[in-house]
Amino acid sequence: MRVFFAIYKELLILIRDKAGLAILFLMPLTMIIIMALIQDGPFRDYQQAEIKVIFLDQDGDECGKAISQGLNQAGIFKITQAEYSKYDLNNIREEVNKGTYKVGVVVPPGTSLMLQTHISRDISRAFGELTNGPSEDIKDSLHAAIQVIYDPALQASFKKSVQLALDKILDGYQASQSIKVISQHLSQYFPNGNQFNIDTRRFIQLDQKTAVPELQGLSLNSVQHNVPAWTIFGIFFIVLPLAGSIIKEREDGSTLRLRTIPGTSLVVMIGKVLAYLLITLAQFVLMMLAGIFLMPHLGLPALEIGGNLSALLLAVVSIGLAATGLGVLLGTVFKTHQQSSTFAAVSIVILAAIGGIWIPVFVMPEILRKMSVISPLGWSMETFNNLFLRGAGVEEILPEISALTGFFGAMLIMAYFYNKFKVRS
Amino acid sequence: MVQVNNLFKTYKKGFAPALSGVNLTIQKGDFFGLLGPNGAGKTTLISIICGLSPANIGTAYMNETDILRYPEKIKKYYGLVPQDIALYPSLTAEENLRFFGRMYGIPGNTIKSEVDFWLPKMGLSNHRHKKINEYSTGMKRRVNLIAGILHKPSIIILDEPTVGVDVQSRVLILETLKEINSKGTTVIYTSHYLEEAEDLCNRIAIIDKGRIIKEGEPAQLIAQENPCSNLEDLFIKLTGKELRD
Repeated sequence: MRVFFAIYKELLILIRDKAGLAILFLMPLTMIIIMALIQDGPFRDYQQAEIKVIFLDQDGDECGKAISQGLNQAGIFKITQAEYSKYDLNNIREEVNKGTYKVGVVVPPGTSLMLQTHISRDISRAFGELTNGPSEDIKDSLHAAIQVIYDPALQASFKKSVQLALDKILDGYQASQSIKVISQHLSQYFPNGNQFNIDTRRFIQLDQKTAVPELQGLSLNSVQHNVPAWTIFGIFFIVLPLAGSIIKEREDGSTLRLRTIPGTSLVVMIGKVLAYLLITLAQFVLMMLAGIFLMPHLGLPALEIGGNLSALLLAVVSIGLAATGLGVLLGTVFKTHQQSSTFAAVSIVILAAIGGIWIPVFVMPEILRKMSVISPLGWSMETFNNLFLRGAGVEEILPEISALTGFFGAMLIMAYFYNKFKVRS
Repeated sequence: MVQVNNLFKTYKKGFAPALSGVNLTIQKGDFFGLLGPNGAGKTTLISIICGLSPANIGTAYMNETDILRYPEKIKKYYGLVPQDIALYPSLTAEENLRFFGRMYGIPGNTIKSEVDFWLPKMGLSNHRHKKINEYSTGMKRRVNLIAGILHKPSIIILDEPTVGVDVQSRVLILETLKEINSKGTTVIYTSHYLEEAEDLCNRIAIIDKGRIIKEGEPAQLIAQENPCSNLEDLFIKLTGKELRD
């Protein structure tokens, strides 16, 4: 019963601290909105990239058309056809260098003809009609034919995408041309002028699925990253007011009075932890509502939180406990509010950075990826990713929530022994 | 009753002890003044008596309970009124008193009747819903006193309860303490206001450099030390004029 009054007292104090409430609720909400909007572009670059390509078809034949069609069908390029009469290779290079286009593709004149000649000679030789192979100059010119010009600022992954797309188009086109010529040769062996047709359809298809069928189509986007990330950041920011409240009680003498009341120090500390835990739950609910209902109004996708609400509650409580545990330790160890708030703010920002709050861990350098395992904010992020993106349940998030609650316990034990040592000395 | 025997307390090895061999007996119903210059050991002695700090050597008892062995058990006997305003500034006087009352385990209706009794008595009935940070120092000290006596302890320990308050508040606080003492409650009190202590206390102890250098009834002690005419003369004679910072 006394715990209830301790919680009530703590909540009363918190509610009357308007600046503190703003830090706890408005700061993470603002961060969610700003960061989700800022990072929307880069996230789209990775997932829904639309690379601007200027395409000059000097070939004007089948090969040029096939490449143009193939790039369009790839779905990740925005193709602008350059007029043959106005552009040449140098103009294309200039356009790319200006940054107007990320990639320039030039199909030189006679590419189709060279390819067809090469294929015809090769296949005719195979069918025994021609004894001389294709000349060396044809081979060389074919290998050097398609000019691809990249913007120097283009990321390596995008260059790779362009290269893979062009390789696929050219391989496919060359294969279809070869089959066409082979079909023509084979048709000679059929009576009555019947055509021999080889089926060029692809018989082995790709069947792509996410590991969790229910989450098909869902991937990490700016909202899926930033809403949980900054919610965690906001939850851990309660370290500042919590540590400050412990220090203030000590400074103004309330702690001394409470120590003279039998069995009260523990009750008040439990009340404090539970009150701040309630605040973290309120923060979480507010941020999730913002993610689900506010984000679509800003032109962003809505947050998907998965369907396992009991696992989600367990996760939030564990994260809240880890944050309150850190707050209790800092409030116990530091003498002044200034010391604790400076240390807490800096350490949370660092733990957030290495824990994948600012940007996902998988895009960090390897050394930071290794360091992320020491950050409770990283464990929290992994828990939310497991729940939201991988459809995890309680069993799957047990390692993370065990680490978070273990961290809470460790913080309290350290605070207890520090306090005991301080009283004795 | 509070009894301490041969108490020694050192905070850091190699430094002068905060208490060195303190012996003291405070009888039930005493209005006891613990007087001494800054750094004399008053706060350390009170911390040990309240069970908040351990001693290195010695014994201490409160109502026959061993303070050093059972510091939690003796807490029900006393109420502490610290020198700091040990209240929550953003809570009202009533909210503070209700909270501390609940922490003492006092039932809700008893707290209500006690608060309804004490706030008007201390001239705060019109300010009960005002936050403590909107109070004057005198008002804060009065609420600070109520918070320490709300649970009706048999011993009240006050650390400079009238420091920084106006005359009216001081008179009210001291009259209240006299009234409580007259009903049998033991009062242990520290102060730098020696005139106030001389007027209030039936017994005093002067402590300096961790030792009790004089203990007894104020009038008797003053009479023993010629040419002292009051407690201040006695205090200066015993502790010297050297500044203590």
